Amino acid sequence: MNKILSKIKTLLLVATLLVNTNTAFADQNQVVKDYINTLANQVIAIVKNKSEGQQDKTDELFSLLKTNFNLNWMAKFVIAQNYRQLNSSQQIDYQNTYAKYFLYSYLPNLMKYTDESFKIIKVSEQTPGNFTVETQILRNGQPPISINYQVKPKSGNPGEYQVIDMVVEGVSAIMSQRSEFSSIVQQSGADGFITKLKTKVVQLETKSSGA
Amino acid sequence: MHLYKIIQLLMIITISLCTNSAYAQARNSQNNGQCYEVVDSYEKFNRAMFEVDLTLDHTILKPISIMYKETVPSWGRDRVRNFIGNLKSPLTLLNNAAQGDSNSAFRTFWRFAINSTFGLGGLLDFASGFGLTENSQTFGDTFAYYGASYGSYLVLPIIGPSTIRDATGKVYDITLDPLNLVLNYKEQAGIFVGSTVSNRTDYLDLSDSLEKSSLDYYAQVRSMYLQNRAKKNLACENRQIDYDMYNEEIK
Repeated sequence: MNKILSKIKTLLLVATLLVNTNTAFADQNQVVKDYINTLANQVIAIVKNKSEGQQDKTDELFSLLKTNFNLNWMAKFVIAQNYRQLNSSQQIDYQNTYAKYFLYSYLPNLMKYTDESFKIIKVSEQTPGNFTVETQILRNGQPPISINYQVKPKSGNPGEYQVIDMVVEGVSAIMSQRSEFSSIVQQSGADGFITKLKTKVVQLETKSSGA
Repeated sequence: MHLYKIIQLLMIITISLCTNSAYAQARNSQNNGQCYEVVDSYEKFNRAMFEVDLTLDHTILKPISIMYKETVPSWGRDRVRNFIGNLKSPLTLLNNAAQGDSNSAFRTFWRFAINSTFGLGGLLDFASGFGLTENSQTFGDTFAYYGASYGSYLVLPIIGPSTIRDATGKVYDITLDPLNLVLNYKEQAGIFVGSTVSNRTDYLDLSDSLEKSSLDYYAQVRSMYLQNRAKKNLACENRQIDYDMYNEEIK
């Protein structure tokens, strides 16, 4: 009898632990979902704000995305081992240039979303601390666009999150850049690559400011 | 000629159904590392061909697509896209069968039947309303299904980005497409032109934005094409990028 009671106790303990673990996962998924939802709504509010001029919108989006994308990590990811070839001042210079490059390439696409709406389909934890938020941009009379956001906790601040990649219709933004950048580093070397990146940033910045 | 093609079709379906389980086993055991790997063994040739295609695009295809977008309203372009999409159904059905995928074959059959009749020859997409959404399949997809790796990236004249596997699949698509049994060469060429212009129109904004922001447009297009194709490869479709795997190299 005692043996049976002991087994029942063990089962109940395991079940309680499982339920608690699942709830913890569910809570974390909800936090990530809320984070992306808030970010998307902030972006939509800026894009749809008719009282603001183009330049003000660009500036506002720029600062919002700069805080919410882990651009330092992304900058390292896209040039892979080549990052180690740069000295410390080149690394800082490159990271700042990459942040501008990413944001100025991405902003014009965001500014087009004036009539579209946004829906979160699913949040899942791929590996511990790595979340995929599956979303859809719903367009009038056209098929929806699927965008998955890869989200990680902020380094040194596990309660807050940042986006590390966007996968649009199965195509990862940083994987594409990684392939593109490594091709240029091979052709022009690390210095040549940074020079090209800077030139491109100037072009994109000029275009973005409408000059 | 038609009888010969029908025999070819039946042979492919029979062989593929018989060997399905053996191939599926091979597919499951293959190394999935190629999902995000770029193999470009013919880069010099490909870059040259890419420039030729880009020039053709800028001088012929893009201006025609812009004109098409400006003159045909969105509703009309949707009808054209639906019509062309519907014509791909027989080839998709053949590939569903070649992959031994009876569920998709069933869906493709009913999608084609509904849209060809109630949808006025495919102009209207009623089938999607019943959950029968488009999922076109080619022989490139079928080869990928049976575990064939893409070999190498390859840029084809006029057609553009492809791979060794997809280019081989294209030859099978053209030769074995059941639609070609009933259409003459002029009609087939008309569909090819219509499909090319319709597709290009859909990507006008995206291609402009990419071309302007890319540092190396060729490498950007290559990566996007290969990632997109990996998504259609069953061995890769559910694989997420392992971002942690790359942490070591960027420490």
